[in-house]
Amino acid sequence: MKKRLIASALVLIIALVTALPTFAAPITAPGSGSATLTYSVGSTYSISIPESISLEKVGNIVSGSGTLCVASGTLIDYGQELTVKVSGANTDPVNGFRLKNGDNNEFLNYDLKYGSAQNEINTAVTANDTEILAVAAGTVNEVNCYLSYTVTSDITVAGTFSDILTFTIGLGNA
Amino acid sequence: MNKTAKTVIITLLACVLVFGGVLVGMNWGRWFGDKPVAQSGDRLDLDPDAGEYVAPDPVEQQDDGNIAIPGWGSITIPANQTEVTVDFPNPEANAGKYYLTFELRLKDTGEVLYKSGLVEPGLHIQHITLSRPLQAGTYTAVIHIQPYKMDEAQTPTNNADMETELIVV
Repeated sequence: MKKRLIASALVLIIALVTALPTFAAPITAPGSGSATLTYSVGSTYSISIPESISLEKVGNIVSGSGTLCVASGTLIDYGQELTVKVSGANTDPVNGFRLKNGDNNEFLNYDLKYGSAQNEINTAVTANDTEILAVAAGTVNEVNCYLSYTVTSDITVAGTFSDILTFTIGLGNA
Repeated sequence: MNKTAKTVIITLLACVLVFGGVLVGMNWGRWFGDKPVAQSGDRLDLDPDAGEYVAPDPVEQQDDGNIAIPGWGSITIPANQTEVTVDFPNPEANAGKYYLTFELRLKDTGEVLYKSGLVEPGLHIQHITLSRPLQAGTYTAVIHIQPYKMDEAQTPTNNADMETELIVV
């Protein structure tokens, strides 16, 4: 008697377990089920900026160069672009970019130019907040922007002249 | 000549020789050394080392090095709280070269919400205290990143303003 009871209980349990999937997802027609998969990827990027404006006199020309680089692996939302603008701490509306001599009011004007290759640095930047680079979404490789600085003023005072550049990096619609 | 006289003469000769040797040694350079050309006489002579100016070979422009700056698409923080979690890293690529400081400010008003001290390369700032809590909404923020050289002077370098969305939920 006891064995029969145990056997009946086991059969009942097996029957219930087997029936469970039927209640979980009623199939109305073959192939009509659906599922939504979501995977969010946040924008991420890394950029490297030149440390300083380094100048050297070769012949009669005082000049220097630098490179701004957007590292590979940049991820930007579709339809957006990453832009880089440049501003100088001593830029003047009339004279453009300038190097300053310490705390004195002595300045040297310089030409700031940029380009996408070292032998094509020919686009002049004349005012602060000028866009020098735009990287579109989907760009996977490293992107470089080459900069050159050339002093255009006559040097009449000895001393150390410098300028600090601020690179403004933002994401916006392409 | 007796023995005493001989001894006196030999002693005197020895003294003269020693004194003479010392005198010659002390003045050797002055008497027999090379005299500067320009001072060989009472008047200045032309310096044979002088010549036409020859420009040195231009030194190859050295790359001063670049500073790695992190970027953010957006930053999400909780509303009405001043203690919030973020991630402001100084990349390993700056090791041995640059500290970074981070200043979080609202773009429209310029209000500074947070300013860090120097962050060493490879380290992160993850818990910050805002100057005031923000209400829920989306703000345009600027993270001003100022690098400093890792030398005694800690000279500030070129810097970056990273514009980002500050999402407050």
